[in-house]
Amino acid sequence: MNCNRVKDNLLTFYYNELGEREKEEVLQHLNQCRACQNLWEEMRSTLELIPRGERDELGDGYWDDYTRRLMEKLQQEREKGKFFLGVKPVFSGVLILLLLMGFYVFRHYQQRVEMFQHLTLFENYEVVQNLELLENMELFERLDFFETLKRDSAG
Amino acid sequence: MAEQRPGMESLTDGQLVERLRDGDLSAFRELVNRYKKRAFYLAYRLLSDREAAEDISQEAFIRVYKKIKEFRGDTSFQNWFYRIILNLSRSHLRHRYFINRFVLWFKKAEEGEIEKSLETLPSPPSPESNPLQAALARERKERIDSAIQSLQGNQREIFVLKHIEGMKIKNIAEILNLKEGTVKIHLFRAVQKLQEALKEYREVQ
Repeated sequence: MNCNRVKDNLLTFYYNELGEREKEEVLQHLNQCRACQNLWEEMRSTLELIPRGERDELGDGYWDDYTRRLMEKLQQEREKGKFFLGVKPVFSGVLILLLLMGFYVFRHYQQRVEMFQHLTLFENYEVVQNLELLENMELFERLDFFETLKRDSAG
Repeated sequence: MAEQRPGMESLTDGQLVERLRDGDLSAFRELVNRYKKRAFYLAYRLLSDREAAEDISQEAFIRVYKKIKEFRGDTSFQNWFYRIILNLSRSHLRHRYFINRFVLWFKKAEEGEIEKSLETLPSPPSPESNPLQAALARERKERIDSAIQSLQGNQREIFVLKHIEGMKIKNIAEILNLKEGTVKIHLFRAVQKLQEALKEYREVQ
């Protein structure tokens, strides 16, 4: 095994996850190679500073409370679940009703808007008609005036 | 709450899962007893916050109860459960990150001060009788914790699962959905960073 392969396998060697043959090869190499030995020592001494596994410092009382609190939370969740299960059909019904109402109100509003638009158009039409009428009346008056003038000059 | 039936301790995780699927609450209690410490300490190692670790580990148990029917059994219960804890911890960290950013923006305080105020559980009293030794031991423990905490997401998760939980690389790869080679690379980089961070303690040793 060369230095690079040993370097790749040092951690698995430390955690005892190498096969017997590979373990032997790493050991052999470490006995011969000073650089890899230094690398191994650095790694090993760092990892040994950090405790493996957890030292439980919380005590049995804490763990009993932990379980009790967890079971209470679970109970709450289950009740919430039941509540939503019961409420679900009612909630769905109300939602459908609200949607239908919304649709009805929207349709009604739309109809009103259309009606109003028609009405405005109609009103505008009436005004235009009246204006025409007025113009015509004026025209008639003028005609009448010219007729009178003509008759006076002839007489 | 249902009392625990005798003999539950002798059942395997798989058998407990089967019973839980049938709605047996005592099977759930047994799973809680088996995994509560590991769940709590795993979350604590990832979050460095005792309250959050308790919440996250309990939330993970509640997820197990709710989603047990979705557990297909293509991996071990432990791996599935650890995956739940990791996912919940990640989302908690993301959430905390945004809160930190908001607080930072809001108060315009210095980053160091905020981070300092948010974390770390006060160290438990040390068994050392000499106050100086006790203080040194406490300081060393804090340095080790903060060195682990300073590792990046995947590196920290992998290091905690490997070194502290003592899991096999193969299992870690399965939990994190990574290749074994990738897990080894992350682990190697994590150890390199720890070597650097804990250099002075190593030399003293």
